[in-house]
Amino acid sequence: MSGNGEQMENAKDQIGFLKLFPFPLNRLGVGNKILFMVLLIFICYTILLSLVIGATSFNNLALVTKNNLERMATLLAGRIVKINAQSMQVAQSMETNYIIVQQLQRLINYGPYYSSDESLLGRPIEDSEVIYAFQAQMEISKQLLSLQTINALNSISIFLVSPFDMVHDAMPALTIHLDRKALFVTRFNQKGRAENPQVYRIALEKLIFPGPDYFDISSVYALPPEKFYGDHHFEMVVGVPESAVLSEKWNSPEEPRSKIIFRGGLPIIRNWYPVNVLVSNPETFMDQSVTCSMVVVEKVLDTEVMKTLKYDLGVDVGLAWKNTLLIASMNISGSRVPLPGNQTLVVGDRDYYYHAKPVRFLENGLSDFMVVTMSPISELTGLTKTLFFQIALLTGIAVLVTVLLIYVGIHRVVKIPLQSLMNGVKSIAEGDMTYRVHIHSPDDELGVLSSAFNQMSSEIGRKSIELEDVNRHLRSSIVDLRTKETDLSKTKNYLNNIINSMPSILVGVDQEGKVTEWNVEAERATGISAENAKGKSLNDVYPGLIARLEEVYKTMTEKKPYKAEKLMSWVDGETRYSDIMVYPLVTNGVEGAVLRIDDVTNRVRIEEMMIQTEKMISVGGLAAGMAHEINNPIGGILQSVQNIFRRVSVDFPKNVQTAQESGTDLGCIRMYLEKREVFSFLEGIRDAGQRAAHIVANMLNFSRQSHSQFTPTPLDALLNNTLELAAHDYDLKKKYDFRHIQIVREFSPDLPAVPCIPTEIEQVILNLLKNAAQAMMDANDSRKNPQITLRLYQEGKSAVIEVEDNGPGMDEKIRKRVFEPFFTTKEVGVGTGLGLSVAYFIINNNHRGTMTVVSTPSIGTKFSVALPIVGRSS
Amino acid sequence: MRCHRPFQALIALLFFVLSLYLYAFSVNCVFAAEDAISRWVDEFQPSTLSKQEQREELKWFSKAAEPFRGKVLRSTAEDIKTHFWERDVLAKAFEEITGIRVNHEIVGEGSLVQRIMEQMKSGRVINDIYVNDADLVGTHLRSQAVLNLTEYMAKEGKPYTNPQLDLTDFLNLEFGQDYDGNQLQLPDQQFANLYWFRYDWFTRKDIKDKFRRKYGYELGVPVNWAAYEDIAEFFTGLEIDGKKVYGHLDYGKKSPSLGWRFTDAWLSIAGVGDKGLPNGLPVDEWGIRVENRVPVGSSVARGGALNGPAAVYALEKYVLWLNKYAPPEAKNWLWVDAGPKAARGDIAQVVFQYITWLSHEDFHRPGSPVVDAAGRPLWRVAPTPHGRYWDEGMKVGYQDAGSWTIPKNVKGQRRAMAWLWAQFCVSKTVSLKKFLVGGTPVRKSTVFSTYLDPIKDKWGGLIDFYRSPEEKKWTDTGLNVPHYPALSAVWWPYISKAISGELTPQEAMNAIADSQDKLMGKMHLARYSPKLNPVKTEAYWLKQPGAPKPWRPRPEPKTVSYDELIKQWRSR
Repeated sequence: MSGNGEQMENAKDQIGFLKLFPFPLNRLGVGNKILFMVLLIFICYTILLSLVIGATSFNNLALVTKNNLERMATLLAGRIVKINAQSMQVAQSMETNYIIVQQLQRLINYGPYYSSDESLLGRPIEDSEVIYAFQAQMEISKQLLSLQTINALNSISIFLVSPFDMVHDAMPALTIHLDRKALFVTRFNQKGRAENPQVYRIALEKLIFPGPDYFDISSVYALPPEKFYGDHHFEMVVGVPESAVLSEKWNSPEEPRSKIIFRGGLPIIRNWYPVNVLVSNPETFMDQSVTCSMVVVEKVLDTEVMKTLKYDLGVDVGLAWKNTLLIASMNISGSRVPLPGNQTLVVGDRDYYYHAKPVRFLENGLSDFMVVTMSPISELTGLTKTLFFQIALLTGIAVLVTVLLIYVGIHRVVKIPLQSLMNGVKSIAEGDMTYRVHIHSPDDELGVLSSAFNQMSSEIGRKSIELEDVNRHLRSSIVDLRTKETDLSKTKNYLNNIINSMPSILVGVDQEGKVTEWNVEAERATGISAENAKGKSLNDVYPGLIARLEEVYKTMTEKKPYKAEKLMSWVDGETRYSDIMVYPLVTNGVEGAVLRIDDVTNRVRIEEMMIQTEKMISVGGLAAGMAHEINNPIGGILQSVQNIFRRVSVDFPKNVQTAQESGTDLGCIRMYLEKREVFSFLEGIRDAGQRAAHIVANMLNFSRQSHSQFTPTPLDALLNNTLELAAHDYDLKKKYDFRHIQIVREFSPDLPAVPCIPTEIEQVILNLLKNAAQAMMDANDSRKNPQITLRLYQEGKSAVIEVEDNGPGMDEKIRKRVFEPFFTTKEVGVGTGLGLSVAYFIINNNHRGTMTVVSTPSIGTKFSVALPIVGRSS
Repeated sequence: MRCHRPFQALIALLFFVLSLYLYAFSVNCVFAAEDAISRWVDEFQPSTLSKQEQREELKWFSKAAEPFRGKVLRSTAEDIKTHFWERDVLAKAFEEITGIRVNHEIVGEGSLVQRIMEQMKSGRVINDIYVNDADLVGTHLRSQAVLNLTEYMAKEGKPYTNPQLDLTDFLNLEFGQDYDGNQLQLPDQQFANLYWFRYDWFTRKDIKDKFRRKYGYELGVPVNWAAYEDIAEFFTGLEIDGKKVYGHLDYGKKSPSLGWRFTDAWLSIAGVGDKGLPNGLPVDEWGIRVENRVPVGSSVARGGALNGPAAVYALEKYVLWLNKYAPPEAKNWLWVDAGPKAARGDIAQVVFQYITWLSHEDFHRPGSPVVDAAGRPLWRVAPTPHGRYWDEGMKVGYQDAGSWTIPKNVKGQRRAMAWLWAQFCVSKTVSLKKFLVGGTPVRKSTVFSTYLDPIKDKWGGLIDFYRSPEEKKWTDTGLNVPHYPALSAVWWPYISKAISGELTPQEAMNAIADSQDKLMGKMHLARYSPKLNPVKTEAYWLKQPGAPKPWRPRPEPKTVSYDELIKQWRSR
């Protein structure tokens, strides 16, 4: 109890201590409490450190300042000497400035102290000379202005002196003076005297220099000098500024001088420099370099200069004369400040540390002139305060940064792991078995606790996942099976569709010749449904293939495909052609074969027709050539025969006269010829010749393009006409007795008029009728009455004419050749062998139609002529 | 007292010795000058004066210069033979006779004008005296910046004026006078521009016949440009003694000297300007019209003639002949290049030959293609042919006088010394000798000297020219031109553009007239400063009598026999 009581006491004490703070500290977390303590310690440390540094730094700074002042005083003395050297340099530079030297020559020439010879001294200076001098003054001033500006000089003055001592004891006479405000030029009136010159002044802001064309060759002779002063706004004034007055006599003008003078309490650096130029010696008239003018340059050392120096050196500066401060960079308001010996001085209400150093000038010797550098003591105090404040500030920032770092550390080491452990427990409780606590440092206590927690939750999680996996696997298997089943049936349907949509007959057989596959085309061709066919022997369902069974088996055993083309068969009395392909087939290890049977009758017919056409065209060309060659001799033969008949005719008196002159009688001749049958021979020659001419005329039809006009013709009328013609045809009447043949007309009633050459179509039909009649007569088959059926109908875009007989028919060999020219089955002399050829030619070539023949021996023959209904022209 | 005597005697002796020394010194000086005079009299032979007269004259110079002994004088002249001789011989003589040393500097005419202008403008004494062309007299009379010699001779300079100066003996004294007859410049050397031709070719029968056949008139000295043009065409490309020759010579390189080719009276030769001697009035050959001594304009629109038909014609012919008849390289010649070129032997005639070049040795040297075996020139000079606008009573050609000119800002003793030196250079003592050297006479006594009679052929007709009253028709730039240096600078750039074809002659003359008027409009001279007339139509001015003159057709070409011409000159 006592232990507990002590702890309780301690806790109370702590609470009591924490109560000292204005906010409820006990509500803070462990980390924040530690943090608070550290902050307190640092603040105390900072305050102590600042106090110690502040106290010692003041003394050190005072020492440094005094040393610095001494160093700066040396530098300042150098600067003052340099300023002097610079203004002396400006004065010297006049002598090397070509423009200034040239203009000084003019000034001297037109000035009071020189004339080209002594005889001219004493005479007045002419107006033109005054203007020349003014020109020179303006040219020089232009140069001086830039020199003054560049070197920050206060004034530049040019004085004329007398070269060659032409005017004794001549005081330097001012000719140009330029200061910061105005330009002064002087005008002299007499050679040899410089007293009381006229002074002209112009304020710098009004000053405009004359342009290069202002003075021309006769300016100085044209106008009085006042015009030129007036043009440039110069005003006459009395007297010149103090800076333009030489306060002392200058004894040795050849020597340059440099001196500190005082004007208005201000020290001024003043430099004199004698300028030598070439001037004609009045004794010899030879040019000689002599001193003829003097340049005086002034630089005032005023507050402005001091401020500039302060800016350069970084300390306050001043100038002192005989231990009294004359001028300084800070305001001393004209009061003379003494320099005490204790290195401190007082200006106004401020104390300064100072250092003074004497400066040596050309004229003044080791003078009482001193440069002074100063630094205010109050500045040191200020510096110390600043230092104290800066240290305090720096330490404060350091403390803040440190506290921040500690806070971040505690937060990461303790607070975050505890928080995540708590979140884990919460998640498990809510059923989230996957939650894992992040382990920040595995070796500490929190780390061990976290990993034990993770182990536990992962064990629970693993079991749940296993169960879930099994379920998921089962579900996916079922879905898979269903999908495969659907695919399978789709494929099967697809294959069946392919097989059934093919125009070929497809039949599958197994090793024993049993049907396994039977497509729609097979059903159509055989009339046996697939259901009935399958499982039956191929012999039973497709007897037409009996002849090929051997090849089917051979294919299965040898595993080589078999092909047979254009196999002939008779279906409903019509010859049909087929191609048969047999492929070996191995399905799931079971051997069999697939038969493909294609009906190629149409293709075969077209091929035959094409071959026929080729033949006809080639023979036609040949025939045309021959016909031309044969026609001429035949013409000769016929003509000669005709002439013979005429030469023996009694109708011509010339014949009678010639016979008498020959000592005979025309009657006797004729008698002889008749008796010896010469006339009959001649008749024979004429018949044979005419026959040959007829054949040749037919042959020519092959090659001749018909020039007759296509006219829309009603074919039924045309066929009737032709039949009538046939009935009256002498040959038909005489030899075949066409009237005994029964004519059947099957005309489609609404056939439109067909564009054609009617005479040619008539010729074709007549030819077909003759052939039919002839064939039926030749057969002389008593069993049936001869009959010709004429059909007329429309098929697609063609009008079809059919001529069908029930004659003896033809075998295949003959049928193939019927359209060939000169092919005939008739006796020699009966047919020309050209009739069908010409007909074929008329239809195919002239009318772009087709002509085909179908014939079955002992049943009959059918010729079909198809003519396009749409005319040639379209 | 006795004891003092030897001392007094010593003093007296010393004084005597000193006096003797001083006397001897002065006598010595006089003797030295006397010596020099004798020597130089011998040197300055021949002379139009007798040796005694020469001696008298030189003695006067010696005496007048006494106060200036040992002093130096600066003088400047242009770079021609006469002035070189002055520098090398006369300056030496002058120093020995007067004790005055002269720096007689020889520079180009351009720099010389620049110097004198600078001296007048700025007042810097660059030189004490200049030999400056009298072309500038119009400038000087208006600037008032040069010494009025008439006044000077009468007053201040009277003691320094040679009593034997004899101004009436000068050939063309009026060149250096202002409107009122005041002498502003004194002639030192003068030269004319004349027509130069190959007398030997012009008198050869075969050549004359050929010319007559081709042009239908006699080959001779052309009186007008039409004939000059025919002759130029005739000779160009002609082979004479196996050598191809040219019918014309000129120069055309872009330079200020191209301007002289025109301002040295080419326009008056063409006929621009009015009648009147030495210069046309109221319009002169620069095309400048002057009314009451005040220049009022040079463009036709202001009454001038600088861009009138006559001026355009002058430029046209110059360019045409340069292109067609002169050697092709002539376009790249300067004045100095072209000067002696006629002596190379393949030039038949030169329309505009500065005779100063005729003293060049190429025209006289034995073996030169223009000198015969006996050393006589094969060439002659004759009056310049004139253009179609020229009328009787106008100046015919150009003649200038390089004249002594003292700027006003040279004063006192310098002025006196300068005046002495100028008079010395033109004294009768030295004039004939100077002519023989430089061929630029200024005195009548020189050109009429009997000494020249037997040898005058050596100058190819020049002496005859100077002796004839015709000589008065050859004059310099006159009083009308108010500022020679500024205005003459306007011309050559435009003329150069006309040569290159960049401007037509009319455009070039328009531009010159316009620029000249603009410049005159800006001038502010001390006296008679230009004041431009208001602009009127050109037609108005062309209708007025005199210059500017309206267009004229080509006249008949006209020639004259040289020998006839000489006879005429002599008879007058």
